[in-house]
Amino acid sequence: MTHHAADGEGEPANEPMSFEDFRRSFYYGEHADMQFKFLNNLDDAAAAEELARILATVGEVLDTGDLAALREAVYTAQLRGYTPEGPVEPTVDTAPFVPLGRPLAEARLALITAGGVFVRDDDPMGPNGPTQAETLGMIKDFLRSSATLSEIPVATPLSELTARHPGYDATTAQRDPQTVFPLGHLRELADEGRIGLADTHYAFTGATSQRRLEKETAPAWAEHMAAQEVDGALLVAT
Amino acid sequence: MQLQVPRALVTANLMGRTVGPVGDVAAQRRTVEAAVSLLAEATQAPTIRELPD
Repeated sequence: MTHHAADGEGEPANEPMSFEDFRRSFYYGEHADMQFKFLNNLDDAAAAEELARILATVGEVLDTGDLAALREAVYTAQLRGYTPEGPVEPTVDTAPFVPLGRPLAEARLALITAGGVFVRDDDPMGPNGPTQAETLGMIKDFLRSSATLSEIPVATPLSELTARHPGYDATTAQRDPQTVFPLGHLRELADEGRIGLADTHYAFTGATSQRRLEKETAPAWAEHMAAQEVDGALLVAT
Repeated sequence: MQLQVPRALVTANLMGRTVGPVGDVAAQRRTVEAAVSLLAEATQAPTIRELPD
């Protein structure tokens, strides 16, 4: 296995790439891929096991067309990569419970996604914002900065939505924003009289300064939504 | 940062497809209905549900 590395004269040189380097390269490296960056979290043996199982499933799916089996194989591997060993003590251990307080049909619900969704003509990073691919190289900048809240009017056509995010592969949400921002489904429930919806819904990029989010940004957003008489919020993580 | 949360619906979907796969309107709708129901039905924190249960 080799990979290209720039040598002193600017020419790419083929150098041996260890399996460890290879699996780690999915985490913002040469093979950066947000769907498989979990390989960085596994040891070599576990990563090899999961990759072999995924490839074996690919072989089967080529014959069976059973995409669900492939999804399950990747999901199982992701779960292994992201499940911490042993119990985790939450950094923020307060979880104040507030009852909804009124029937769903009379409540004004707001949708909030951490999936970096925005209206195509209202890009939070300006009209010449980076592409999804470019944003992966900006992950450290995102994690140091405060998040911007995008406001998305309730009647916005799904076709006008897009997404960008340095922590997951937002090309999925570009194909179908309802994978992380199910506004169309909520509109259907509202049309059926089962829920009420606020006039505005929200999105931000979850890869952001978590401390600022906790101490500054999110409390300000909550105040804003309360002022809009929002009774409850559905938050979608990615 | 790990957060304790008052209510959560945990879905067995791939990363970046929390609500459901691309174009799978039925699966997405099931997730949304379960989330809305959880909002109304939970009586204490933490109430954690999984989908599928």
